[in-house]
Amino acid sequence: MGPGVPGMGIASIFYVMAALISPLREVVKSVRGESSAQRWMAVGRQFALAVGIVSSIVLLYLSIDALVSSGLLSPPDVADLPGHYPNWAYAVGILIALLLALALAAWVVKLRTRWGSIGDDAEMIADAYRASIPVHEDLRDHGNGRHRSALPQPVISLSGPGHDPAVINVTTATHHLPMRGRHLLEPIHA
Amino acid sequence: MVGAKPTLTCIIPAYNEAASIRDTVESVLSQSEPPEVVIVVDDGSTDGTGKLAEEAGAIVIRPSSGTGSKAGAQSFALPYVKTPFTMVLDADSVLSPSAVAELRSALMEDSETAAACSFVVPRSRRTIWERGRYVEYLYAFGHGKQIQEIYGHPLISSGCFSMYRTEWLTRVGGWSTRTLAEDMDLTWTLYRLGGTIRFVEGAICEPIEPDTMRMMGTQLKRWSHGFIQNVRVHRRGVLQKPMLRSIISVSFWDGMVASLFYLTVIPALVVVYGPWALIGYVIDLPAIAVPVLFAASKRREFIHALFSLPAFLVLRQLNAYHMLRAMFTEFVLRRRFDVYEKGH
Repeated sequence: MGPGVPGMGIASIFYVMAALISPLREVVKSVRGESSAQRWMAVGRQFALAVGIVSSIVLLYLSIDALVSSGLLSPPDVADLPGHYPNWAYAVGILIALLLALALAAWVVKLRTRWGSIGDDAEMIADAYRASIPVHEDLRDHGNGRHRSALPQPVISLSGPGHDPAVINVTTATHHLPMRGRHLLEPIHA
Repeated sequence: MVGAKPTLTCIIPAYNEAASIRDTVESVLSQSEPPEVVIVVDDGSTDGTGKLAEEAGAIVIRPSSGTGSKAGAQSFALPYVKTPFTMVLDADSVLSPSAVAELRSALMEDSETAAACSFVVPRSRRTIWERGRYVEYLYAFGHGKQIQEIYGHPLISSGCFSMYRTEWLTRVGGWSTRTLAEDMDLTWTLYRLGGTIRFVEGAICEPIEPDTMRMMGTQLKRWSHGFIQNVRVHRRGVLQKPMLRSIISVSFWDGMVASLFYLTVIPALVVVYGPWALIGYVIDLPAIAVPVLFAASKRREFIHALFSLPAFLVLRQLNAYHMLRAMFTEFVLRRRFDVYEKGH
């Protein structure tokens, strides 16, 4: 579950499992000299959280079980619902199947790439991405800004004392701007 | 003082942000290590945003006509960036005092690090939607994203506040509009080009989140379609990145199954088995609460987070509706949604 993406199982189990095995991974990284005390703290914190999450779920199920056993709760008869295993077992099974399917797909794509039927090199990726970047009309005659020496001067608003609040040219404007970094903007006018 | 650290330009795209732009610019300029240049792209505002930004100390660039999107506004400013590092910040966000310094340090640690992103938490938490988002962020940034960082693959370098090596941005040309989630598209493209992304827990960005159901719906519609569009664009390219493909796939699967479950399966079970089935809406609450309350207690907001948990359950239903609708529109109807609507 992430912002805007609802979730209720697979992703949570994935992160809990990842957190639980992260200390093992970190041991390997430590041996290789790629770890640090800061990383170990993050790993330890997430491991503890994962244990807390698992404990909270176990506690919830035990509580419900106790309430039902004591007769305080009487759930409907769900004997006709499919399955003889606990819900989490199905979720873990689906997660493992999903990850295996992905690994298989990756392997197939790798083979096809090796055989030359598909390609995904860096230049193709960058070109495809670049092709979808909007070219504003102000920059259209300037290679979308890639040729810096030929950049148009941006229009800047300046409303300080003695200036018309209407837009003025940056060459003039930067002499009056309060920003200490304005010199970094000026050299673009070649 | 910045010292020998690489210089930095901050790009703030803004459209009618008069209510917040001053706070945003002042928050940037009052950083422990402020950027050397702050550029506000006034993208056709009619409420005086540009003037307020300029008064607050920013350089204001105004395209001759509106770019129509956040990606467009940011890409418009990129050619004017001359510093080795570039950061983008939403015009409704403020930063913790050392946020810029922390991201700059993370970016400096390794030359292969293309981008760094921060912890995000809503600035205001009054309405049910803001509180729901607050819990959602505490869970996502306090747990999921931290594990992604441990495994070296944060899913998104968030568009509300991220810092990039300018050379990577110029290599790809800026921010694409082929999807409605330009930050996700850029992040996954950078991964595919061999770059790495860092998540820095100590840097905190506080944006204004949608405070009404309509505004939240507008944002979720864009996010849901953007996520699906990115999965379509990158589905083959991310396969060779094991951790990234796993994170994306479990998110996609969970988003689809959970949405179906909340909106169809649970109501059906209620009809068949009675109100008992309503427990399906809250059964995972303890598992959500543990990381949320832990993250909140670090911020000394335990009680606030505890009482915000129900709001999260409500927001989740809205998430489910928009995710299911986006999947149906994009996959079944094969109708691409590409209207950029501002929803904070």
